[in-house]
Amino acid sequence: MRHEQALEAALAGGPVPAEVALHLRECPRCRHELAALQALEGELRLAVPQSPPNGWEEKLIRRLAGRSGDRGRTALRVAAALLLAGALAAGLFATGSWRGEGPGRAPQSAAPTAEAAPTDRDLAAYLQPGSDSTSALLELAGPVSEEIPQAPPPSLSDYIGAADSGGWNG
Amino acid sequence: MPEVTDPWLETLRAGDEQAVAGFVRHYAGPLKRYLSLMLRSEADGEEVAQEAFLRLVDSLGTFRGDCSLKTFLYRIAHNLALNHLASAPRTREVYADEMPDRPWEGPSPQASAYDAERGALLRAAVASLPPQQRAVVALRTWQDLSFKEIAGVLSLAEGTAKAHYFFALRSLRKKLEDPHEA
Repeated sequence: MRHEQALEAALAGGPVPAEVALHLRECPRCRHELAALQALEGELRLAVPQSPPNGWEEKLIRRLAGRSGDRGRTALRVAAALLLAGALAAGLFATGSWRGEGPGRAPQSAAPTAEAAPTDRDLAAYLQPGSDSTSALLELAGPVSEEIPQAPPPSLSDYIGAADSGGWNG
Repeated sequence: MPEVTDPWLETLRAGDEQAVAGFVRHYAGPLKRYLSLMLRSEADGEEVAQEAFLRLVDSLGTFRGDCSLKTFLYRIAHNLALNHLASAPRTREVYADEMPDRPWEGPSPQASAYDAERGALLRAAVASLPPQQRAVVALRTWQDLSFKEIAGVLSLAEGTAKAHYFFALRSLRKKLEDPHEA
């Protein structure tokens, strides 16, 4: 057995293999070097670097919690906005009211002609607050709160569940 | 690779914020010490340690459980450190016979009788090792990782990790006995 092999095995910790023990018994040079390296190991363990606490761990914990909270709240807002947009679009096209065909006609002439095709002005008038058209649309879309419902504060599980599945490439 | 049962994994995946806080408090200090040595800077060590925790949390959903979370965290951290070293300007080597800047000084509480000067010398000597040897020594002596865990962190065979350790100790011994020898 080579000297380096024996020393490497002896420093690995755990039970020393029989052939290593035999080599060390028969090789004073390796016994001497092993003793010196083990003493150095002991010194190294005592030389653990220390630094005064500066609160960085607690800041990190808050950042991890805040990071998950922000992601959760953003996801809720995006989802709510998409739902509202979808409901409005569905209502517009389903009723055909913007053409003046459904309930809640636009205040202007309801019969579209080539010259009087629905314009932005028509839609704007259609969507005037308080107009019959607006009320009908809202009724069709169902109860949509003007405010985003107050959901319970998102927990870390919301964040982890919605986490990007790209993984770490290290 | 067989799955490793990790006491932290399920609670962290479940989004238990108390578990996240406990995990951070348990590993943050040792991880920062390791990274401070690898990067030779406490400020950089702290910055990279934070990034490692953030990346670990990001990766929990896809973590396969083929090693412990501790090994996974250190693996992330080690690779971030290597990236940091590769992108940072070259710093001069710190030799055992020089008194380096001491970004992470302070006697350890359990070694009040220990020679502080000798401790600084040892840390400087470890910091002067090549990155792979430096990592193995720090993980073994200061983080108390097994060679199997070290191999997992550094993506090495276990035998290679043991060899690095032996040659690192031999090199340290020579540096400390005769600092003028390369």
